[in-house]
Amino acid sequence: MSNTGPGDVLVAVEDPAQVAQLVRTAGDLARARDGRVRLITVVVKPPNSPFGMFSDETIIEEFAADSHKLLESAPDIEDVAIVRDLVVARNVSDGIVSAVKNTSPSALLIGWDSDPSRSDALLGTTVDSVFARATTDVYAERMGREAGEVTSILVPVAGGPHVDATVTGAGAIAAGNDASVTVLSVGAEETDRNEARAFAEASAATLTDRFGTSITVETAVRTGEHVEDEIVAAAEGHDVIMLGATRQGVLRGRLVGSVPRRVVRDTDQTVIVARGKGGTSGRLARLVSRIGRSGL
Amino acid sequence: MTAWGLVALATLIGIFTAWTLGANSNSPPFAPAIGAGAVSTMRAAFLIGILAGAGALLQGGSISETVGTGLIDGVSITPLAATAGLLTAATFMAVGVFSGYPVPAAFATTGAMVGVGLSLGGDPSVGTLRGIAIFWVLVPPVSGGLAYTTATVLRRDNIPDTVGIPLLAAVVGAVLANIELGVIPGPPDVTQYSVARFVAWKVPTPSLGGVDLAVVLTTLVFAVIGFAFIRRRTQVSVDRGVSTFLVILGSVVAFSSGGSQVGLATGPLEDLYGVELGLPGVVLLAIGALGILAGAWMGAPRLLQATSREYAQLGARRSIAALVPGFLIAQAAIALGIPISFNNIIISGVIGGGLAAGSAGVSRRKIGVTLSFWILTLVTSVLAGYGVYKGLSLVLGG
Repeated sequence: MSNTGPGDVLVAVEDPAQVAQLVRTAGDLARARDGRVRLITVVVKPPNSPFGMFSDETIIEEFAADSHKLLESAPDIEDVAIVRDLVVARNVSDGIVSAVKNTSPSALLIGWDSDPSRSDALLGTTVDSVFARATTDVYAERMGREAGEVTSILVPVAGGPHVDATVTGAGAIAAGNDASVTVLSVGAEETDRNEARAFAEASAATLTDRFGTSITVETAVRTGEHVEDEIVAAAEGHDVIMLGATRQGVLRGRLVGSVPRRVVRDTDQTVIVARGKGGTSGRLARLVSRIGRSGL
Repeated sequence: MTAWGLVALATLIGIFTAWTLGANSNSPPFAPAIGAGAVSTMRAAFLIGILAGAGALLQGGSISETVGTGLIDGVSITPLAATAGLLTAATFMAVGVFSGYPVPAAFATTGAMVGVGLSLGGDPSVGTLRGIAIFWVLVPPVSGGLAYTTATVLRRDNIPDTVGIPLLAAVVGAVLANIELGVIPGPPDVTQYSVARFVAWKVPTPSLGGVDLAVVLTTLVFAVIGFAFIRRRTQVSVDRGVSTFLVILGSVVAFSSGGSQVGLATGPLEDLYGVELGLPGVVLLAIGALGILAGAWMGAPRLLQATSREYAQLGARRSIAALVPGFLIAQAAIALGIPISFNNIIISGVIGGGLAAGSAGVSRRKIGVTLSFWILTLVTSVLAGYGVYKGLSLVLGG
């Protein structure tokens, strides 16, 4: 896994149904970063499986036909180079994190299947684990239930550590699809309105700064007691919702906060949750959150 | 804590252990059959529960006895010691399941019971432990060798599938005639008897070199039935013959795995149930069998979904090559009363089958890691068993 470029975007695929859309998003992100798309899939082989003793090379050569097929099924992307690679690991998140470590991409894109009955897809726990450990900008994309063209992207912002990754990611997708970006800020009460407006305008300025006039940027401010309700209501009329992971902390367990979870649950659009580069949590925090999750 | 409280607690941990074994150790045998599309996941899980439970009930006694009474001389396992041993073993198994690292259940239980026994002031039963150690060391080369032979036979062009696969079925049939089961009646002084010996007992025949002619004939009849049945299937269609054989092989391996794994959960309770409560051995085995059945029904579908895809990649012939040693070694272990870990046999078999195809393609690093975990499990489970019993007896004054 040598010759990595500084703007490369790593995209991990597991589900054949998600490949095309993830590669398309990764292409947009890579184009804006002047990099290539590095497409990987993780061949999961736990040590206690019958393949536990085979070398990674043997597994890739002889026992990963499905994974090869998955990578080959990915479409080419207009004016972005694509590199395909297999990673052997004991679980999906370990494979993705080690690929990030080995190739130092400028961003990582993963799929987020919110349907818990699919055990082979990237589940919430994988997203959490990757968010906690991957040392790069991470985007988790929940596939829209109705695929289609992207003409309008909603970007709810409220400051915080992930706002830069969120805004630049949205700009990249907008630039790749000739779409417009609406930066939304929600104030809890009338008095917050000015602060909310300042957030929205700062992000809009960042976008215009980075992408110039190639994309249309609008700002919107809403007032309401529950931020989640306002975002879900505003989502109507947009094709993609891009928002920050929002939550960090030792005891809260999940790294993806309540706002994105609620938006994922209550909307049908494509939702992309972004986590900025600096957002990894320490070993102790991960252990605590894992124990919290397992219910011990 | 009262004695009854301890009995209840130890039994609960024993059931949990059996449940864990049923959910994890007993499922893999059917994965190749599912991978080949011969049986659905849910039906396989149902069959595994029934077969492994039956194997536990009918064949579990010998290993259970070794684990409970054979490892340590001079002391008997008290209720507190049984609790300590099971608690230690169950913890090791849980760590293995949750971390995904290879922690062999047989190593954990054997180690824990040796530790507890030493802590009680007993002496290690050198002869038994030496036998177990030799068996464990022999498992990888023997399983790998059997798988290598099986795979070589199946790969040879001058042995058609309509002969090679029925020949393996004949071997399985011959062994089935000779496995000892708790239900087959025999002379009053034996508790387990095989079909072949039952026939020899009922139909007196001259013996050839110490072996009853009836035993030989019964074995041959079973072998011929196995050969003829699978041969007819392979003659209709090789794929169908392979599928049928994978289901049969999965069934007998699941049965054997029940018989070889239940003792890891019930062994520590042997003294408690047999001596202190004065119950017949089958009561304890029935408890373990129910735990395995429940574990298989609840846990197997998930595990099977993951592993059947792996066996599908391995292919039917190599899967057969891995399962045949699983059956033979498990039955040998049951006959000798030696606790074994199924995963060790299967992994060695998969590598042996790979060698027959030309290259093993193994990773020295991964073998090293796995061996280290095996040794680590053995050593730490002895220490933990010793420590846990000492700790519990200090706290509870046991």
